Amino acid sequence: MPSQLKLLEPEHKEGVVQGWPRLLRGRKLWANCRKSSRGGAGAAGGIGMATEGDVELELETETSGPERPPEKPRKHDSGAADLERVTDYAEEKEIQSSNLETAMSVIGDRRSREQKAKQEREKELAKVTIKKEDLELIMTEMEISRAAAERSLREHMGNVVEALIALTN
Amino acid sequence: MPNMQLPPKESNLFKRILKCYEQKQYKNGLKFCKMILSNPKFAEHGETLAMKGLTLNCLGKKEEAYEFVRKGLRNDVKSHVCWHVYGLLQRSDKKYDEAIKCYRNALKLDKDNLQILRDLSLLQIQMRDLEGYRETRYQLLQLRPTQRASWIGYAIAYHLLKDYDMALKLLEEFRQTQQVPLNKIDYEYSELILYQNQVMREADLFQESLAHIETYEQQICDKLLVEEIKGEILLKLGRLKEASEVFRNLIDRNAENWCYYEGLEKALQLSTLEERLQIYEEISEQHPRAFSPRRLPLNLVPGEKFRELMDRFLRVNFSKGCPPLFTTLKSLYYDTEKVSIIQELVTNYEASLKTCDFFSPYENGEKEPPTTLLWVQYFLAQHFDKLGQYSLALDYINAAIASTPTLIELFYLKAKIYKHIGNLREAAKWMDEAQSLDTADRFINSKCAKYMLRANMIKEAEEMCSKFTREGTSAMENLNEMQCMWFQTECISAYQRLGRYGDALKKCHEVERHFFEITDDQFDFHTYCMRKMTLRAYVDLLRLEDILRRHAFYFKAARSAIEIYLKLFDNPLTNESKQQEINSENLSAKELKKMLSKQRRAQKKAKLEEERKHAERERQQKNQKKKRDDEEEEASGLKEELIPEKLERVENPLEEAIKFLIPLKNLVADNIDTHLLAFEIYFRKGKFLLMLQSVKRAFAIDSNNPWLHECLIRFSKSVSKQSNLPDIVSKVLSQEMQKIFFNKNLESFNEDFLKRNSTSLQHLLSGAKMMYFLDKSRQEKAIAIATRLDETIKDKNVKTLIKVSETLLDGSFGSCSSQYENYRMACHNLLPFTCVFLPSMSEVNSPSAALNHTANCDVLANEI
Repeated sequence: MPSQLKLLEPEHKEGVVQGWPRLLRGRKLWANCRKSSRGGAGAAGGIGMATEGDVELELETETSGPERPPEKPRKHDSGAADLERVTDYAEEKEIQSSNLETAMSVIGDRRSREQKAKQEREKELAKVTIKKEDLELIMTEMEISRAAAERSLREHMGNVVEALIALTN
Repeated sequence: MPNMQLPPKESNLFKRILKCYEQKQYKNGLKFCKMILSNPKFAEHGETLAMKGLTLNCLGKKEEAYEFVRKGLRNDVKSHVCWHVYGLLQRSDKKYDEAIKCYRNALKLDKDNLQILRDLSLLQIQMRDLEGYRETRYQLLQLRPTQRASWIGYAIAYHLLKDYDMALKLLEEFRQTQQVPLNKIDYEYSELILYQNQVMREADLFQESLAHIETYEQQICDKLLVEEIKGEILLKLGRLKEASEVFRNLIDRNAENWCYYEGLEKALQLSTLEERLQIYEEISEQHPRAFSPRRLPLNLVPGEKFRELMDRFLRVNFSKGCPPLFTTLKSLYYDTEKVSIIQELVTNYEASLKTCDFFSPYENGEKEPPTTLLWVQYFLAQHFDKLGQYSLALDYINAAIASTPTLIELFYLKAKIYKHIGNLREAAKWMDEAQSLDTADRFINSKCAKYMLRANMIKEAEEMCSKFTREGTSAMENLNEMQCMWFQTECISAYQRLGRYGDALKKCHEVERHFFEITDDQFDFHTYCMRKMTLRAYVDLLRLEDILRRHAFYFKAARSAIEIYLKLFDNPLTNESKQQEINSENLSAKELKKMLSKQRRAQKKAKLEEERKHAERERQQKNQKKKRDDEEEEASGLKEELIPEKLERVENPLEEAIKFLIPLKNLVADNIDTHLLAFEIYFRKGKFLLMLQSVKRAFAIDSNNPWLHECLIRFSKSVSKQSNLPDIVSKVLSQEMQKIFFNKNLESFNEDFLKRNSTSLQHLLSGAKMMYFLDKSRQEKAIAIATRLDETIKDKNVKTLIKVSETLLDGSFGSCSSQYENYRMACHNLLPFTCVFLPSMSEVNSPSAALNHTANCDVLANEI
């Protein structure tokens, strides 16, 4: 058995060293494509001015534009190529609509109810009177934003001691 | 004039600019821009100028980009295009809040603009403004009910807000619009169904979920997942018979997944041990080569039956030569009975194999190969290492090495044992030996580097890593670029131990930046995943990003950063020489001279090295005028360079510490150290309520934690000393502290703590420290408690003893050098191999070891 155990001499190193960068290259390319995409159209698609119809008109004339720089063939493996495609712009796919309208109406109802409940809670909270110095005490002592401090104070009906105890929990 | 309508020809050109931008044909885009702008009539056309800027930005010309976009906006503030472009530019600069403002302005001018709404929704989900996201997705759905993304995006918004009903309603409406024939397998449709099912399960709608998965089973690509979901839901619904069928099938597919066995046991509801063993027996017969059905019963059985099963299990694996055998059994070591049975079995094997090549004497049949003895010895070394009997462990590993000096695992283990002993130099030496046996093995290479870092050999570690990093850049830089965080966090600890706080902080910030980048990388997936319908993976990604900084790498880096900033707050560095003074306090004149000359040499060398690197970098830049590298240069130039000297002289270390603390407070609230670190910061800031918050949270996790005990006493003492607190604050403090201290005075609170934990050295150390802290006249008594080494003490391990000896040195007990020396000797007798306790004679011979030692003390002085 001991003789079967591999004992690699340093000369084997060469081969492996050539092999490894593939792993690393993935990240590297990802970094590159990220850089180029984030500034670019990438994830966002275009500037919303032209309507879809207009764009299609343009598509036909596109080929007659000034010649494009030939796309350099990419040497890297397909994984990285896929990553590049993450930021490509794509038209949204359309649904063949059948009974979208009933669905839409259901959604509308639900939404208005939600908003009402939320508004009522906000109204209730807004009624609570709070003292400015309490608010400022909470902000400096707990190092939180004005909004968070105000919220906690209102939720405890303006009782600053209770609000502070809750915040230290 | 600038905001005029373009005539048809120019208008067409402008549309082409947009198209080019979408298709990433930036050079062409610029040509079209020029065609419009070169006409003097339109030279000031706002939208074209803005687009020119945006296109330039994509080519990496950021300053020009801002110039053009701003100029365009100035010329045409009433244009939604200009505002949108400005938003995109800000977004590419990661100024998301600014970008949202720009989009909102654009929407004021054109409230139904689809593209702007889409971009806004992306930023909202990225910033996790879920309510806002839902609003925007609603508008998008209203405007484009025929688009898939409108429905999916809106449904996801509800899912993330945990309104499952609505999410499911939307998904079902959407699913019905998808016309996929029953016999056709469509991956995207399959993913949609699985996502729908995931939402159902999260909503606890098990009945519906089961019906759903059965209905659409045919159209789901991931067959394994279908079965797993079925098993899980059948269990939840109590339909145990069917569940057991499912889990049996799953085990047939993969007999090594422990979850399936767990599911099967639950489904069969077996009450007696015999029945449970029976099941494993059966499966083992069906799958003779499977490992798990033999391993799992070992968790269940005690006593003689355990001995029988374990005997069988061990013999097979030793004969086969299974290196990770110990690892698979390690989880049994909480049970002392099992440990002693294992020890008995394996030591008997060893004795017998040595004499007659059988597992036990008087056996017949085939003799064991010589490797069996090797693996048995390897196992025993691990076994005794785990039990803390290090010299026995070393004996076994040395015997194994003597028989087989070419096996990497053996040297690896030897290094590990030395690490546990606390002799890190020796550990690194043996790991280097292991590494030298196969220099092409990256695992062992990394391990070696890690051990070197543990022994503070940073330079050597970097060199070790450089065998596998890219040529042309330094290993340190390359590892940073590759976000190799195990290396960086170990580097942080090493620099921290050496007192090189600037370098440590640099690494901390690098790790922080990696996490920032990872968060940022999710941006592209908001559109991509919706388009590809990989919704389950998408939601998982969002949830992962939400808790990203809970990762151990972040915690380590943040913890070190906080510790260092606290240290820098307590002892600010004013000039270069000060750091050296601290280090050299404990050295004699001769040693000091030696050390200084060594440092000078090192500095000179480092400077030369730096110059060489600089020259190399310049040469590289000249050589590689490739576009890609240029881009990279610019992108990395955006970030502020991290300079160690500046980092360790930061103006407000506590504020810097808080920046690292906040993610921990939000995400790692279940780890007591988070709150104790928070306490240390707020203590120094004098924020009493935040101190209260920290100790309350820590108290809720583990009220008997030694570090917490120290915090409580220091907290209480500083509250009692403070006289001018606002009334409200004192009221809150007294009300809340009463719940912890029960009106006890601090002395008796401390005495109680000592009494309660009279067998734990860690606790005694904290209690003793506080005894001295409260009353300096009790130094002798306090030291006597901290240095107890009698039989009743349970945790006399390397770590705790080192901690005690370091506390003796750091001034927590005042000056006590003679007691330290006695203690060191006593520990040396207990742990003869641990370097810290070696007599100082041997250290004088190697100045580097002495250096290391003082550095260690220095760091631990800052142990809080």
